[in-house]
Amino acid sequence: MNRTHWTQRIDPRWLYLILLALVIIGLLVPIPLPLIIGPQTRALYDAVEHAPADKLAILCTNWSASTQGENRPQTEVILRHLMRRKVRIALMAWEQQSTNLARELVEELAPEYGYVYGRDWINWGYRAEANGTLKGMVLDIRDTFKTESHTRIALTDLQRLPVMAGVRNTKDVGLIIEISAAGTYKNWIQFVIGSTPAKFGYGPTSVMAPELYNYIDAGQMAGMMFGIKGAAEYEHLLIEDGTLKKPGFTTKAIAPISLALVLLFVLIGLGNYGMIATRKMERDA
Amino acid sequence: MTLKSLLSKLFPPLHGPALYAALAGAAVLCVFLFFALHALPPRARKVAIGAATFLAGLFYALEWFWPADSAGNNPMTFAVPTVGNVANVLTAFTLGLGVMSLIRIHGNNVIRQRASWENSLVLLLGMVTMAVSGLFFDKSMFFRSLFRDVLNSFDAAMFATLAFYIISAAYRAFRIKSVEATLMMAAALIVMLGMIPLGQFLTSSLPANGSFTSIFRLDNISNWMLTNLNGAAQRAINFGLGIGALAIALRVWLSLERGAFFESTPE
Amino acid sequence: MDHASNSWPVALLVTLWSLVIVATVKMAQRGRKFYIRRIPGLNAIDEAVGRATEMGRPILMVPGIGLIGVIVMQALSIFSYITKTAAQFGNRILLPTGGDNGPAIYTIADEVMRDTYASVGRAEAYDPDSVRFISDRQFAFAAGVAGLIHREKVAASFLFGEFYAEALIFAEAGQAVGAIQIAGTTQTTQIPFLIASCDYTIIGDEYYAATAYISREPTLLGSLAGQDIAKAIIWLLVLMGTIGLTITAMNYGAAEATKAFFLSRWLTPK
Repeated sequence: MNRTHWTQRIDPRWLYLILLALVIIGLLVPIPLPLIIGPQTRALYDAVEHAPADKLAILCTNWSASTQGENRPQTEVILRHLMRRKVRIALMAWEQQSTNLARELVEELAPEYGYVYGRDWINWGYRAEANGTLKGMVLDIRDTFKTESHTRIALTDLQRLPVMAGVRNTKDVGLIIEISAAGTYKNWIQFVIGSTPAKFGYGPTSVMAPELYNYIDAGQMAGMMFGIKGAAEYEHLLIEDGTLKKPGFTTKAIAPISLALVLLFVLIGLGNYGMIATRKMERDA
Repeated sequence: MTLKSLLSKLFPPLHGPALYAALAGAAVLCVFLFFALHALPPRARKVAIGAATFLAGLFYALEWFWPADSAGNNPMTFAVPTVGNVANVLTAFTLGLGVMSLIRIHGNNVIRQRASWENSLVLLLGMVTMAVSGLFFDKSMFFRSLFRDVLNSFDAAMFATLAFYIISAAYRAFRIKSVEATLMMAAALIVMLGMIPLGQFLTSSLPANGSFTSIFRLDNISNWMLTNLNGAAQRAINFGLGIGALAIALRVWLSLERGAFFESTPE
Repeated sequence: MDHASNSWPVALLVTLWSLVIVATVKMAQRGRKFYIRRIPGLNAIDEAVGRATEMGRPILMVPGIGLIGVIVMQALSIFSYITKTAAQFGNRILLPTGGDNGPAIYTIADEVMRDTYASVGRAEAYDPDSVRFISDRQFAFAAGVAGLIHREKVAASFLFGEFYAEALIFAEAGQAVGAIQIAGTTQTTQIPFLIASCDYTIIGDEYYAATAYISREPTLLGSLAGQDIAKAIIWLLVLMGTIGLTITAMNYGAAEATKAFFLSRWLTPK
């Protein structure tokens, strides 16, 4: 008879229910937790803080509604930081959804910092093919995108788009940041980084983080904040420098993540205990 | 005369009726090529496909090897976006075939009332509603709601299911069955503890840096493991993957493979 | 801009690797035998197909959501070999495609599967519904495939290609219906999830070795031997770099070492 310990027969739906309960409790009940800022997030913050204020910063997004839990707060903290420093911003996207989601976010924050479309920020829109677009941007940004994406004003029309003044190609850009749920950092490193003095920062989802450490180590990436934890660290740095008054939802979201990981530890322990107990039962039988 | 000016002279920009005539001409030529390729005997077809593959690959190889000027251009660089667009257009055309496949499979399910035909009906209705509202009523509240409230929510919900799956997968699979598995679990636990505030709190009394004891802080150990151990493994895997990709690209480009694609003759 | 002239030594290396690979392929085609080590995950393919035959349930093959390129081609190549066995035993196959290039992959996969059935003399047994396009949206595709796994109760699931967050959804759905699962991906971030959920996972460039391993075709074995020589060249460069940079750093300091050491100066693009 094949007997197993009760821990080996738990219906996974019970685990799902416990996880759901912990996440809800973590969001509703304030749990004060210390947050240590990682070196990668600090390096990214420094890159944004020291980016030339008179040059355009490119904020590229490659996320959709699916990963907005992680990528939206990342985009928000970068935008707030750039807007506080009055750096001109150009949005572009490799994802149809993110072009709208990022635009909505900028429109939400713009009044707070007095940002005006065409003067302080611009949306170059969505491009499906990254390699061709990036190669084009190295040669000529205006020729690559032709128009901005809201009302199709030509990028050469500096009267209506003063934000584009002095921007011919990626050499004229002061900073490049991508917030992404996919590995498009490789395209930037292959085709753009190295040919421009601009630093390159990254905001990946947590699961992507391990593959990016090499690029920071090699100096091809100035820094990164990964997942919502990175965004929370960045938010803390913005509180320290006075950009933000108090922590927002991003910091609050750290508690449920911590609780979920504690559940994971407990379950791994329980699973292993069950495995040993089952072996013992089999031996005894 | 550069290649660019020669091509501009040979193919000047067309407008109005001339443009439509050229489009129609191109379409007719494609249909002719399609049938000509089918009419060829298998051996000749293989040669034709091999030659086309080689020429297409040769463009990128030459563009890369040809020395570039100080601005990073060589005589072929200007054509890179156009060649990229050709690939995009070819890919876009296949969308129609994909939609045909969906309609055929799910249409048949509905007509023949196969098991769970209701799902197929919802899929077809959803596809038509989204396509029609997106194409003709894209400024309407209805379309925005479909996009923002339905598609976005579904996307976020599917991604969120990963949290549940990770819990059950870790519970089931994270077992200390061997030395390797034990090492992996120890590494995972240290990295996870070093990442979350609760774990960081455990060793937060130690100095962050500048002292011998700072190397025992969980966040420092975790960071060291990710940068050095994980970094080295990632590099090794990427070297292998890069060389593997180069090898398969060479085999396809130079038609070195025998009995692979496009060769359906029974063995 | 990325060009050979940014770093001629790198261009020289790429040429050298290419020549080595082409040379070993040619040697293998002329009859030279090459050794290939055991890869347990790939040994299990026949076992998985056999189990599906016994149970009379379908085999699922997912080529990932990557763009058209060598990774997808390799996945279809692997699936072609699996299908050869499946077609002989009369197993039903399911090959859903998705992602931005899903429709294009669908057309190629349909052609490859049709050809594979024809190559084993069973052209009439090919069911056009077995290869299907599901969605270009990542999670709509994930939901579609998970639904297919549950409804069809697949007996074996092969996940080969470029996978992202949907990998775990597929693997856990397969686990839930008790399918034997073999996976391989070039996305290193997804490997831990696949290892946790699948019975066998092939890692890194084993992905590119798969077709050579299953088919034992000389061209592919030769290519694999060439890849190993190319990797040995990288390994030598890494070793020379580590020793050279360490010695240079002792003399010039860590900050100046990369500029002073000839190898890192040569291999850094302009």
